[in-house]
Amino acid sequence: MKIYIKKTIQIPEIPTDVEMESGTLRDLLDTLLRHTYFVKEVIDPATGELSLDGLFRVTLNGTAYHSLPDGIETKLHDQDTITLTLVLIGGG
Amino acid sequence: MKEYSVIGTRVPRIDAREKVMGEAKYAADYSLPGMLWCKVARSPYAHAKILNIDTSKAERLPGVKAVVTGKDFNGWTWGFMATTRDEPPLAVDKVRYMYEGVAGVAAIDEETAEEACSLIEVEYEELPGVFDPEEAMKEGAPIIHAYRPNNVSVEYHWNFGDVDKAFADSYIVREDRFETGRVVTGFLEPPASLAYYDPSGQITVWAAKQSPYFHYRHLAGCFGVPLSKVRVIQPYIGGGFGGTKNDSVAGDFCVVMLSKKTGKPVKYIYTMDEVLTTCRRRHNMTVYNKMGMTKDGILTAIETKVIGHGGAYTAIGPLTMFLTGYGTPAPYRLPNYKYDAWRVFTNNPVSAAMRGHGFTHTRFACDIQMAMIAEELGIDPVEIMMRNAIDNPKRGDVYRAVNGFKLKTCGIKEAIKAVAEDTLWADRKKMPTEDGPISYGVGISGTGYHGGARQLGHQACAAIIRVCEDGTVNLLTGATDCGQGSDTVLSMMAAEELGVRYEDISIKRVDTAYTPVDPGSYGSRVTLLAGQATQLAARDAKKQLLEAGAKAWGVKPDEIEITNGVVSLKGNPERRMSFEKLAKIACYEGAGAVILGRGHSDYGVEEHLDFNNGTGEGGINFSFTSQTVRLGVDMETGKLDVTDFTIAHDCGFPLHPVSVESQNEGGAVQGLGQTIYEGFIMENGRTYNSTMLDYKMPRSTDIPTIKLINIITDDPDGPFGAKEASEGSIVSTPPAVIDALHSATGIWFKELPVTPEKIVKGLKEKGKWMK
Repeated sequence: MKIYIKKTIQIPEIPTDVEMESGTLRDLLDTLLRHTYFVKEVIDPATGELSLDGLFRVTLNGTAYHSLPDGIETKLHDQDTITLTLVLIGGG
Repeated sequence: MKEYSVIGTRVPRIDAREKVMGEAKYAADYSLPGMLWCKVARSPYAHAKILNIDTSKAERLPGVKAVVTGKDFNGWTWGFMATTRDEPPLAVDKVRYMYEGVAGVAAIDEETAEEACSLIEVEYEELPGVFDPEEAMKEGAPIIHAYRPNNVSVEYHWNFGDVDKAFADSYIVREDRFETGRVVTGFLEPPASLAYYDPSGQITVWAAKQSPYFHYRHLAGCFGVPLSKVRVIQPYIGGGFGGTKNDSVAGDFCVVMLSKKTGKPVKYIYTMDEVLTTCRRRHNMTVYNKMGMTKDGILTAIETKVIGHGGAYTAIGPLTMFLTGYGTPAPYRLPNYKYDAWRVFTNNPVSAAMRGHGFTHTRFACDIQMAMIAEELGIDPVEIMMRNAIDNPKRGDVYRAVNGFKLKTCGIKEAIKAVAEDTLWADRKKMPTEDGPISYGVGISGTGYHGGARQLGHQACAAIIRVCEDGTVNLLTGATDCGQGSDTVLSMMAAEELGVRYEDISIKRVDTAYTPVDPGSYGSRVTLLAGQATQLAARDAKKQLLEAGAKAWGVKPDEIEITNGVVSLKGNPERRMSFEKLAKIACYEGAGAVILGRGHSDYGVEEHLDFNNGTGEGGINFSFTSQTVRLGVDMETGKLDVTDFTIAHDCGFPLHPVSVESQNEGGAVQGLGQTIYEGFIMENGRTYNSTMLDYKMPRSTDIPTIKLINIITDDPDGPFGAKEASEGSIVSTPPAVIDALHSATGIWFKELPVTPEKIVKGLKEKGKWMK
């Protein structure tokens, strides 16, 4: 399945679309973000898990992920669009 | 326009007495018992690997209590955006600009700390440096950051409409190259901080910070402590202007780490040499601008290519490059627009934000080009501006720019008309044009700047109003007055909303332990967002008071009004009491009550900033400024004498006329400095003019006569109709000065600063030099 990725800031390491067999939003974000320059910002050092709140606003097809019934465990479907919007917070 | 009791009056600034009498305390004035002093050891190279640091000799020097290096910070890095946090508190594996900090020392006095720094032995492997961004972008250039092997820190490519077709259909198209100068933010108070890391793990700092909550987050992140254990107490601030005092510097992190190691308070004060060689400076930019117009002088398209000289780290650079292109579609109607920008790493000190953030570069280029085209077409410069200027939308209407931002008010036409009718422009042909070697000229500009910065994130301001039982009022907000006068304006707003006197309001300085969190003082946002928060907090407190008064009088709350500290019935003004009495009734009746009003700004974010596409709402409204300048040029020496400014500024409504005047004057003088005096003289990463004697900022004797005209547009989105009045004139001044210089010499100067040497060179090239 093809998943589109929109970004509001420049992240050269993250492509505009990916092909994947199946997976969840967490699976995709994990794959995308663990290969970026800023990986240490998005991984909780205590748990090793993704920690996005306060850094990125993530929407799936226009809906914030935390508003989805399955949250970050939401299964992805062909032609889904994920949008990553950086949360700008001075000093943060 | 509504009449106000306090708003719009010429009250003295709330902090004037303390500052004038020398009673204001700044960060450098604070001391604690047992305090140690910190100095930072710095790299002599612009680009070098750090192979080893030996601090043993420094540690053995009597009086030295601790030494820290970059490794003490465990790989923590920081920066404005989470995706580009590439700057360490002290260099770790390599240094990327000359005098970058490599170690910090805490000692019993400054001299001992300084001596200890000289004893720190650093083994470097010098690397080739690159100092010009166009060189840095070339294949084979030294790589400054491994994660950006092409040295491009950030790049944008925006496209609105069809510029190619528009240019093809244009009667005239100009392409020009412009350069804006390398300049300092210009605060007179250098960065300083006193830090104490107490045994419980609480960090307390008294720090000269324009946005203390930035620093509070930096310290929490750097030292791994919760925000609730970080306390930034804000002294008076001796100027900010963006950049350095909105960021943290090496000294800030060192003093906290050294305090943690020694258990003592530690203080640093940067020297002005450190400010001028290591602190943030305004991005200088190379702007390739292409502008098309019809035969009637109507703008058809603008295509702008910008190379931002980024320096060694990213900092706030991505936002700078966004803002540089964002505002181009105002104040003139622009149907087609293309923007390509590259911010490039070089081995120079870091470029960051500064007053007029981003807009100063492209408005300079666009305004000058419009004037050039007016000359070529034989159209009067005022006429060409008026033909293209955006009309002030009717109330309820919205003008939408080609890249999507909205304007509900636009006073540019009124501003242009006002300066055009003023004697400086209107009578310019009656004034002398020559006097011996001096040639006189008058220039004009028309520009805009956005205010009320808000983006997705922690962007709401908040305020608390505490009504004391004697009827006096405390105002607490996290918003910082760094000299721009916001404490005065916020106090005026609180007084107006409550119905009390200005002198009954006492605003407290920011203390992150007690004041509400605040996004910061930048982007001309404090009056608008903290102002709205203050209004809402005051209304909340007033509601509680009116309910108490209504109960006492047996009426409804909306039957009572409060004006100038007097509480009365609207239908029977003879029934009255003092505000103090109302406060006592509210506080003491029944079980008593604590009257606390709270409010936070609720502007929200309608359209997020999309950095990649150039869209979004980055602010609340735009101010507009038109300016004229009169100057004389010595045609032999190139020396400039700028004698007069007339500035017409649309600030919506001048809430505090004294501040509006001083902010416009200060911004214009700062703009003048950056146009004709200021510029870092650098070679291979070394700054040569690192004293206030050699880095020439305007002095009081250089200031022209300044006349300010307020343009009132009463913006529906600003509290009391306000728009920004801090940054517009730093944008309008450079193009107006260059236009005046052209009027005097016939030459268009496109590289700032325009020094006497450049003027003489230009005169010689045109055969106009008066020997």
